[in-house]
Amino acid sequence: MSICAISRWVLLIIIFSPSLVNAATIAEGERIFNDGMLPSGVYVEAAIQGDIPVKGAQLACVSCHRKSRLGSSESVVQVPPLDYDSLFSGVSLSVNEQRGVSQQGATQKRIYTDESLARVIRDGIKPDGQSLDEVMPRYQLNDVEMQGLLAYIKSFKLNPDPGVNETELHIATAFSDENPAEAAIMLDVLQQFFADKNANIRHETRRAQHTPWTREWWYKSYRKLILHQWHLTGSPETWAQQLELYYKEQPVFAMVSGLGTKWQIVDEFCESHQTPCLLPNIIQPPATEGYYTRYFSPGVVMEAAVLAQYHLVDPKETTVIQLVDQNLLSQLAASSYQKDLGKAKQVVTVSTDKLRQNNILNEMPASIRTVIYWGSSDHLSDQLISKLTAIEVERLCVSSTLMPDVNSIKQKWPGEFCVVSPYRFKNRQFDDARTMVWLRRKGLGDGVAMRLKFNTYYAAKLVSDAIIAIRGNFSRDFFIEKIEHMVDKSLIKPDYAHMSSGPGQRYMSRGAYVLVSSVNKEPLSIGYDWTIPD
Amino acid sequence: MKILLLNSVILLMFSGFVTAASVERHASMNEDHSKHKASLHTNHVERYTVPYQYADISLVDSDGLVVSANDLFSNDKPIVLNFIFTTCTTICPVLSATFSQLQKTLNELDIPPKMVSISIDPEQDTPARLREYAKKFDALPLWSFYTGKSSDIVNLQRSFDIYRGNKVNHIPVTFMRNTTDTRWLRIDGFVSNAELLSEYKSLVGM
Repeated sequence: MSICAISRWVLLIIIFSPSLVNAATIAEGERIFNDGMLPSGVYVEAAIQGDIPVKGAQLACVSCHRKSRLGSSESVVQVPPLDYDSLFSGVSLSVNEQRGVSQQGATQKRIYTDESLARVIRDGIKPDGQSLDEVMPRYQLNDVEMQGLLAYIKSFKLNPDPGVNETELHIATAFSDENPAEAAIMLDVLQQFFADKNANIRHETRRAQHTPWTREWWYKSYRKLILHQWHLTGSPETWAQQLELYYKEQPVFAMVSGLGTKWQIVDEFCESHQTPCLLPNIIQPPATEGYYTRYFSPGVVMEAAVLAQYHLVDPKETTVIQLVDQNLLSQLAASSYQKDLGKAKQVVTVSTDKLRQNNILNEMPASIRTVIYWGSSDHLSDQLISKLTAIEVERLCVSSTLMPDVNSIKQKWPGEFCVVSPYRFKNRQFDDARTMVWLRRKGLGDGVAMRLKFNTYYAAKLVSDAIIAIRGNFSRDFFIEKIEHMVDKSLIKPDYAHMSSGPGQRYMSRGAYVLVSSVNKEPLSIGYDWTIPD
Repeated sequence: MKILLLNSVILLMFSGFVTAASVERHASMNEDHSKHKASLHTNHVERYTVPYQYADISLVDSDGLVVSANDLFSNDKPIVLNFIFTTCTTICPVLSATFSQLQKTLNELDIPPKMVSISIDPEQDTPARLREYAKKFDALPLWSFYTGKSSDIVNLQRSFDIYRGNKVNHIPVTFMRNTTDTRWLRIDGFVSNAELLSEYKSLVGM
């Protein structure tokens, strides 16, 4: 036997020895799975439909099998789960049916070995000799690369994520002490919602005790939903520690809703703990990338960008004055507007405090057509309004998010009025009907903070629907994937006008309208149609 | 659902251009359980020819330029069309990889067609996202990407009979139209590059 032949044997033994499958091998497999990147740094190549090449991230495993690796369903295509039991143990008789509701219907019996799994990945041939559909790419992987991919796939055991036990599923909501009245309303909606849900699952848990094994996965997936109030007190610098303590005491599966201005700390907590956080009421999400934090809107920064676009295309607009309050949200909106419009037109930023003390508007350029006020109605006093009308400002623009009760100011303002708003403003009686029935029944239909109630109820409903859809597969990633698929189908609506979601999409409503009225008695109508800043 | 299907059969029959195959297909969907099986075998391909009527909506390309549907679908070049969205995980990557391969051959022709992909997720797919997606699939200049107003995009999908309620429920379809025809060849299902190329060649008489 030559030295060359011996070294080949040694190599083969190294490759196929299970004890030597180490973390580095799994990491190599993970890169193939998620990015379509081979250890050599080149993209993996594959073919679909017989003669169509794909490479790298175009169709990496994660694309269809998803981050959860529990598969997916897109109209005609059913993608099976890749957890260890599904692949290597055949049909599971346990509580968990490794599928979500939308994936049911296709039965499976797939008992793979390393060799047959490698064969199906390379050639699309299943252990029973049948071919997989040709939308499954046939990947070109050598033995070493395949070993890495198999090691990664085999590392995936479907254990419940933190925050779930045999009987309970824990959910948190986090809020600062900035606005106790709003926090109380949000908690009222959430507590009543989960109390309702828990009342309805009592029968399911009883049925689970008397059910045949074929239906175990159905009934035994029910859990009592426990809501935890994570009240964040004091300076935001201490929030991270407070969150860790809360989580240590009782890990939660997900977070639903929250209230606070300096949200970046909570955002980082959600991302670092890989905890899905569904956030309908955060007025300004941090300017970060994220996967586990899902916001309803990009916030007032986006609204300012839409208003800037509207003013950019208006030739009559030459000089705009922005009035800014001494708070973070107001200043963020003003700097976003300045950034987007400042190059094309003259934008002057004035603080409301200063304006209250001096009549600095007299020193402004002669023709000011528009004043924007980035703040709430409480701070726009009659005195300030009269200072604006004194210099014959034609138009006042406000943000519907910062000023939820725009009508109180609109009635006082004699001239043109404009509101940048991501919210629904027409056909409300139809779209609100379902949610209003629930809110009224719970004594919450009193007209106070309705936007907060609508958005909170909607988020709670999404969370509970997604928990049903994942059945016994308590994977947070799977839970997020289900939410992504549910938003577009939902029959109820939050306060946002355009809701949609999809894989990896961080915001569920991404644009805004500019609504206008030419004189104060006129109702608002669309002045600039729904715009999504690029 | 049944009423919808029946309506579409009646509409198609009145349109007068429908091939026998398309009527059969719609009729058979009402009876047996073929749909259940079809959901497990995506390699089921159907083709038929239909004169779709659509409203002249405004679309926005990946450079942010506005174009009307009438101008986009004008008869100066043959058109190859599909509907995708950039965050779609299963169907669209397959459709886009197919276009990516097909464009290489079509680009070499004397008169290359317009290849058009229209996003069915206009709330997410801004021009910038479409540019990024075009790059991911190495799109050549003959292949362009469009988005638009949500309600317009839904109406356009309805006009082409591909609207299935929400984007994740959308179906894999490729449309082609020759310059001399008002009718579109509709190919339902996933096809190989060779099949698609041969359909194109026979459509334009090559």
